[in-house]
Amino acid sequence: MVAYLARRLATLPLLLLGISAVSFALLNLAPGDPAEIVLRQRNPGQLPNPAEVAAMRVELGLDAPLPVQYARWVSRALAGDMGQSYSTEQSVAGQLARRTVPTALLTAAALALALLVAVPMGILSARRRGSAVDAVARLAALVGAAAPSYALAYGLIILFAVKLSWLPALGYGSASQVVLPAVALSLAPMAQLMRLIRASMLETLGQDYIRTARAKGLSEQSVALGHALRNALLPAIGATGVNLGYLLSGAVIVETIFTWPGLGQLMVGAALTRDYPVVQGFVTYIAVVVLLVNLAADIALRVADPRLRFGRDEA
Amino acid sequence: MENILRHRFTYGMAVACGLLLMLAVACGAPAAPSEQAPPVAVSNPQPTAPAAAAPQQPVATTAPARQSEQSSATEQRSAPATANILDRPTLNAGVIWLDSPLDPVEGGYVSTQSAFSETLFRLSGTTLSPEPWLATEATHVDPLTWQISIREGVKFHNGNVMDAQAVKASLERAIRLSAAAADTLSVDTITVEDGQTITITTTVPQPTLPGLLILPALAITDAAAAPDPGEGDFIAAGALTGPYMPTEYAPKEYLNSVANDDYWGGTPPLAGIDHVAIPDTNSRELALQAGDIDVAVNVSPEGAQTINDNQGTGTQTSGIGTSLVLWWVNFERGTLADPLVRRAVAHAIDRESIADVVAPPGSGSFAELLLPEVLTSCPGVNALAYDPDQARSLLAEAGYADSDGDGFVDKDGQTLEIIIGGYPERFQLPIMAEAAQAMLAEVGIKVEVLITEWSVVKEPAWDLFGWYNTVVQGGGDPVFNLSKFAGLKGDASGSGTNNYGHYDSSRLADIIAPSVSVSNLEGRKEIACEALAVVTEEAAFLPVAHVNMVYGVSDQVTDFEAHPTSHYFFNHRVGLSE
Repeated sequence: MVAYLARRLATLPLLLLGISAVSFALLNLAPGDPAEIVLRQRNPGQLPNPAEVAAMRVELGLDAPLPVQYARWVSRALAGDMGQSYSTEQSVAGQLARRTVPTALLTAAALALALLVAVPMGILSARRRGSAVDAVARLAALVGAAAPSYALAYGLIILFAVKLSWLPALGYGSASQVVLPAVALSLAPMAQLMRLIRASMLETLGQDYIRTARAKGLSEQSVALGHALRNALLPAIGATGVNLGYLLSGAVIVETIFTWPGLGQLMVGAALTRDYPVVQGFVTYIAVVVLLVNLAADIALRVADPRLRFGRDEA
Repeated sequence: MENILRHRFTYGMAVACGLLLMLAVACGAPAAPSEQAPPVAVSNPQPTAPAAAAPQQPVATTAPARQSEQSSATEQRSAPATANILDRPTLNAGVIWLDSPLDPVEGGYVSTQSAFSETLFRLSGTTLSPEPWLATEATHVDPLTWQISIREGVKFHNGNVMDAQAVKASLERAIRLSAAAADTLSVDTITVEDGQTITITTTVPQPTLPGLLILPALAITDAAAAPDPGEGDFIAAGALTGPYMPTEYAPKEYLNSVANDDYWGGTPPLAGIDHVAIPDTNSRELALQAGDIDVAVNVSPEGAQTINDNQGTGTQTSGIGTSLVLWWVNFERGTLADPLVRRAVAHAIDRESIADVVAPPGSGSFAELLLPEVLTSCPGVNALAYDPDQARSLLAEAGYADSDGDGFVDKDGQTLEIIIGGYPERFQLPIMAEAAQAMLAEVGIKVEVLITEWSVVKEPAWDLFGWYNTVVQGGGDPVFNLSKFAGLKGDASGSGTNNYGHYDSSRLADIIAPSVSVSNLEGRKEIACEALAVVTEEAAFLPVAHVNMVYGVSDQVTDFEAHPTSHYFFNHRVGLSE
């Protein structure tokens, strides 16, 4: 286990380097001269002349070859300095930190909601295979997986905020304001997890050891919850890590619709105004989060599944 | 083992529920901008003082020799004596953008829109002429000299008195820090005549100076208190004069304010106005219907219908459409530099039909001319009419034919393809682009639609670029607005020189040059019409529609005035009923 953990941790920096290098290169390929953008931001109403642009390129270090610029960015990022926003002139790291709390709240709420619904529904659907409950659950999962998050978001606002006036349509800061965005964000992963758990549960319930448990005279509830559930949930643990990436990307749209002041909204604004330092910082930051969460999910999987712990890689 | 597993499952569920509970508690901790209690701190809670200025008449012409205030003071003082600020409600407004700095000299139109700042003159909502605001009178002494009387009894938010000296300092600060202000005014000297009078001399004749003074960058600011951009806390300086005072600003998120109970025009009936940035048009409209906001700035025609059908909300539309949606034509990319192709494109697009969609009756009109009919009418100057056959023959004349039978014309092996750009925040622009794409395909022109962000207009990445801009800057002076679009004047919003299509305006400059000695509106209209004929003939821009300002408004909002421009969203009279 320790060796596995060390191996995974050792690959993280390489993955991060790769991701940040690709995003750095892509941003440099995008149209628009960052030096000119900065000058326009600092002096609204004035067209910068070529000499000013050239001076600003030197000031920003853009006159150096791309690999050198990247190396400088990496060295600063390692020290916690991800540069300054072109538009607000605030620290990118500071902006990311400030926006992390709202996004973390939204993502955690959506993930918790997805698990709270998907796990029992997946189990119930598998135990009552072919019943009306199963049919409804499968249909709901199909709709949840197929419907785009923006359509769900608007639908939820119209129903619960406009028609029923139960919940606010937008904003951030109160418990009621997290409900609609969390539901909109959670439906797709909820549907995926529900289908996964149902399929996994069905497969597990057909195993020999389950037949043995039944032969011992255990109740169906004991068989399902006591014997089948642990193995049936294993794929869901891995999928949860993957789903976090989906939730973070889905938050970009949901946060925009619900005016939720999180990382997604920051990313949309930065991309539209070509605030490259913020975009680069966002991509790297999200990469770190997703990689760490996936690592945590893998570790959890190994803790839960002895076959992985004592498998070939531990030999 | 069974028990262990069962317990783990139970624990898992308990932890998940606990997590949700913690989230609810955590979410409940900070106060939401829209749910904050009315602010309790007021920096200047003195009782309302009536203004000293005598009632006068509003000015109805663009550049009279003498412009004086007549009725605006009386009108502006009509707000009733209002209850303690704690007892008054806060109005919540949803706006498209909140990205401009609050300091007027930094292109700060937000401060004027939000009733934080005021200029010497403002644009009348009915006549679109400049009317006195912080000034009471303007006298055109000679071609290079204007004398302006300053309103008495006005204080900055910090309590300092606004007198002639303060106005002079404010204008000089604006000229020093804002290129748009300096370019617009061409000021030579500003002299203080007495406590409430200044004289402005200009380096070139400025027959419409009061109209130029509506520029948001020229909002009167306490120069002694206001820090230079980037050097201090502008909010703490209390350097503005409006009925509301900014208290907290998170650009692109929210902007909160409290009432200025010492406002010269009377005590505002609200405790404050809180703005939230909702760039998505649908979200803004739904937030209004849900009651999360009381005013939604700029709603779509479809949204307006829904808002009107919804109980408790409605729309208010300005009486005049002063915002022009148009396409810039790029003269630098080559494709449309050919005047034949340019005219063919103009003939191929049914702009009148598009105008019916993006500005249906009651909320706009087809932009037959570059300027709204209310400002000027130019007989004999007509937009290039929709005529696909004429477009095809012009393309043939330019050497284009469909040689490979793919439905698109080509020349020298190159298919004629243009890029139509725009940005999504103005819902009209994507609709216009897609409609034009279909119409241009009918005559064999291939179109790529590029809906991106507005600053792409500054890059050579498009052939037509959809744009939304007011045409009443400079106090409704037609020459000023035409000059602005042709790049001969800076944009009054402070966003710099327009002419994004790099149109060669030298011919236009010659026509407009005599306007410096023409101060009457009719004479300036004649000059504008002559210039407009050139612009139209050259298909230098493709105007589509004049769009009215449409606001979604809760029925509880009182005395809301839908001003025709985006300069002034709120004033000191707007309130909320119980």
